[in-house]
Amino acid sequence: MSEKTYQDYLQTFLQYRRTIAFGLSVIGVGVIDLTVATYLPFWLSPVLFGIIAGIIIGSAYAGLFAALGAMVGRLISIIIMVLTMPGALKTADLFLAAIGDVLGAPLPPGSIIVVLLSIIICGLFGLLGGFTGGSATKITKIMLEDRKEGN
Amino acid sequence: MPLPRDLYKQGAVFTVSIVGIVLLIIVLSTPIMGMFALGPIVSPGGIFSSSYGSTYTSKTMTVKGIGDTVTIKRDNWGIPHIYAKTLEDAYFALGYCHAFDRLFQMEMTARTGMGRMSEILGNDSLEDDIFYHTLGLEKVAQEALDTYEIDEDLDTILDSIDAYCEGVNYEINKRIRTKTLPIEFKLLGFEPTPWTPLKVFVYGKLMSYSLSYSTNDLHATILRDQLFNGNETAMEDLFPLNQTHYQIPIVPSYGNYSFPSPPKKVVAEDSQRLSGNIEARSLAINKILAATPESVKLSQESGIGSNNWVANGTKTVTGKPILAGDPHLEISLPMIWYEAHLVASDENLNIFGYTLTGIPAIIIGFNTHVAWSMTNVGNDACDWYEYVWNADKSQYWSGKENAWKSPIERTVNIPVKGLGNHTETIRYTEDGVIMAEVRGKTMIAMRWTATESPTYELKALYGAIKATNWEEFNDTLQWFHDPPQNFVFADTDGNIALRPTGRMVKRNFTHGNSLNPQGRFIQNGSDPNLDKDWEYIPYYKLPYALNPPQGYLASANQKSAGPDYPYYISSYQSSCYRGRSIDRHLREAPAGSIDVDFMKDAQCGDKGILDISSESFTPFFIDVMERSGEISSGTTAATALAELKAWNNSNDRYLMKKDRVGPTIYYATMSRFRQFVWEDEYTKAEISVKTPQDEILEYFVKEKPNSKWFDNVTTTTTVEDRDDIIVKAFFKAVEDLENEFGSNVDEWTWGEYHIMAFNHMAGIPSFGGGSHPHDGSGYTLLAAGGRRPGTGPSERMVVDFNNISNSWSVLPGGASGNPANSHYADQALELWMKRKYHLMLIQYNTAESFPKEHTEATVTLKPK
Repeated sequence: MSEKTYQDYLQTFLQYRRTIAFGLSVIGVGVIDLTVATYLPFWLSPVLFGIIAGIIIGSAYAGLFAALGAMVGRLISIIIMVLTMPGALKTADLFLAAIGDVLGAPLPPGSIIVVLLSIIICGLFGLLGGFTGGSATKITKIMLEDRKEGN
Repeated sequence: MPLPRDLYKQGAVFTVSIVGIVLLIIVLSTPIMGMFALGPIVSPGGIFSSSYGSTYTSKTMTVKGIGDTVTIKRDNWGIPHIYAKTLEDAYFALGYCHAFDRLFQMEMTARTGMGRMSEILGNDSLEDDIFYHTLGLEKVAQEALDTYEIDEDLDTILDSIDAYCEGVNYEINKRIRTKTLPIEFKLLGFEPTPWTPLKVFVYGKLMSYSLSYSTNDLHATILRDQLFNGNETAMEDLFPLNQTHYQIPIVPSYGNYSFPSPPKKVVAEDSQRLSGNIEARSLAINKILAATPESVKLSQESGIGSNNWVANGTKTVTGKPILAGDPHLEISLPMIWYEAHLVASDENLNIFGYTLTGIPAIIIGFNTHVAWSMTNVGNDACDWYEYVWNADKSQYWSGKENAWKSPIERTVNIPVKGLGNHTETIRYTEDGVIMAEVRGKTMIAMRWTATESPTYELKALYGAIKATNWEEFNDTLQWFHDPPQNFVFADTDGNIALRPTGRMVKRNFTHGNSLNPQGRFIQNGSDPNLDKDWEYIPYYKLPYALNPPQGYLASANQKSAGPDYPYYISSYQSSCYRGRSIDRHLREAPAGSIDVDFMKDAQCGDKGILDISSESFTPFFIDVMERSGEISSGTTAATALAELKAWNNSNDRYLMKKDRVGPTIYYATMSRFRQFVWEDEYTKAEISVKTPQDEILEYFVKEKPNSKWFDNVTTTTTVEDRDDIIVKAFFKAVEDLENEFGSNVDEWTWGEYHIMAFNHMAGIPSFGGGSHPHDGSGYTLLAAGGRRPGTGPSERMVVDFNNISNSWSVLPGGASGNPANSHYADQALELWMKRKYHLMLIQYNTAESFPKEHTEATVTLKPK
């Protein structure tokens, strides 16, 4: 009975592993963004959850799910930050305008560019993290299978 | 067996991914243009976190460094009202508020004074850093701090300074820890350094630099040697040592001049003769002037100044004094001043005033007994000397010792971003620091009261906030040394006073001795006969006025004292026009007529935009143009003259209103007139030097229309007089305006011509407050010199001793230094530009009594 249940869980996990990997990325990046991100290197959480997603999915294309998860997680955390930190968008607006001043070419107004940059960078790290974790898992699997075959 | 092909593929993906991550981290962590890195700045700890400080929210915090609970009420303008039991706790809270609102401003100001800007900005700032190290602001600040530390009488002040620094550092540490530093830090990619007592003192010295460092002697030397060729009459004509034309001295005849005059020594003329050649010296002077950082050039060229005045009970409606003050400084965002209300209940202190972010002191303000404000004296605080070098420039000839002497050397290390440390050797003669060499044969050194020995301004200001009457206030003022200031005073007893105060060198010469007074020109330091003794005019011998019969007192940086005053203070004080303006308003006000609205009107209403120079010159311009017969009807010049006449005959005459055309035509004509009178003589000078003040020109226009100074020396066949130059100036001014605004004279309004910009302190346009048509001029009480005024009333205060709660204030900025905060420029745009004020709310002397409708947020600090 318990053997069967374990198999069932495993089956379910394998069936939904992409969703789980995606969800973990969303929650992981989002929660870290809203809690301890300021104390960590800016690239750590998307890379970390990308690798975890890669391990769960077990192949390099996990990067796509990890990237998507990291981007959604970052978007949600930014939305929460904007809602809870008055002036956050205005500050981002000012930042962009100041860069325009420094460059001597006015940039289009809008914190949306800062938000998009943040999400894209987060997604890129998630993607590469997913590739790393996925390919590492795949390599391990191939080597284990290879060893099993007596090579 | 070969490895499966899939393994190679996955291995490649793995390798590429790892390399990709590393490369991406490197790229995104690399500062763009030496400033911020894109990765961290768009991440959660990046730019979004800088919104911290963009609003004031109520909260309770437990902090180390206070003895009891402190409550900070932010009012509707974001101004902190700090309620503590002790002054130390109040200063801790003030430090916290300063850092919360103005951390970037504080850091940049300290770095400027300490010569450490190139550490964050790179090689471009190195010359400025070397200049500040040469002046030695940090060095003398350290000496002052050392003096405070060994003087037990100053322990309580040091304790307050320490408490203040703890408050600042509490906020700095929190901001660094939580990555919520202000946006400017993130843009420039650096972090603030801890606030120390040394920085407090450096900040004070930087104010001395802004207000008392002077290159006037260099200008005077060029004028004497190159323009006037040693012609004493010419020098006295244009730059009289004791200027009397149209002057209303701050302390005219009613001052306390009853002390005995000291013996006067006249310096031998030979002592003034310099050994180097004039052209070489001119190059050295140019080098010194060019090295002067922009902020001071601005203050010196735009006639930085201030107003303050007071009327006593005989003049006011209520029978109680009303005091008004508005110091004129550089206008930038955030503004230099920070309003604060401090209550220390155990010490029975309740003070509202203006603080400088970085210093634990109310610089200008009032308590429930006394009020004070300041204007700059502009006294001659620097002496410049030229010395002869020996062949290898290792020694200079000391006039004092009549022997070769080695300069004392001080080495400073200046960290430069990207370039490591720069080592600079600063050298000193017996009379001050070496500022420049004159072709390697001689050198110029400078001695300045601010760096001569430790000064005690903080002690004076600590006394001021505790003073309850004139005697106590007068007593504490003797410690205010530099920069010398004209303190205006009023108290609840009905006293009014005005007192030029500070360390002012007692010069050994008599009035009228224009060409060889001690310290007016560069002096020959190698001459054994030169009298270089420096002693200060004793405090009790400085001019002052207390309760004069006229019932009012006023200062606007003009001459400090009347002709009877026995000591020289300066020959380069501000033009007389603002002084004449306020004197007229107060003198003409009938007894018992002055109220708070009168004072506001004089600061920034119609009284405040009366331009007495315009009143002096415009009738001459009109009269001369009408008599000239050179105006053809139907021309733009004819329309312009008609507009000038219409203004001259209207109720708005001589008011520099932004919607009138008359002020533009007057100003443009006056600019050209000034230029055409002086430029022919000034072409002889190899560098740009000061022109005579406009009251000198007024004197020639009114009294000497055929003066030789009107003649254009470059035209050999004709001799021009006043009228010729006025005609030429008027036509040229019309041509200028037509070229700029077109031929429709109606569009030449003063507001189109005269525009005020609220620039960010670091020059970031997006953080500025925009450009606005502006009233006033450089000669109106609402001071706004030039076409693009960079200086002006940096705060306005009116204190009513009949009802202390009817006291008003306004800043050309706001409380916050965060551009995203609604209080960043709210006062500038909603009040200052519209000539309005806010109430100061000093009457609420407990946190509990502070009304809810005035409260934006409450921060409670509890001791840990």
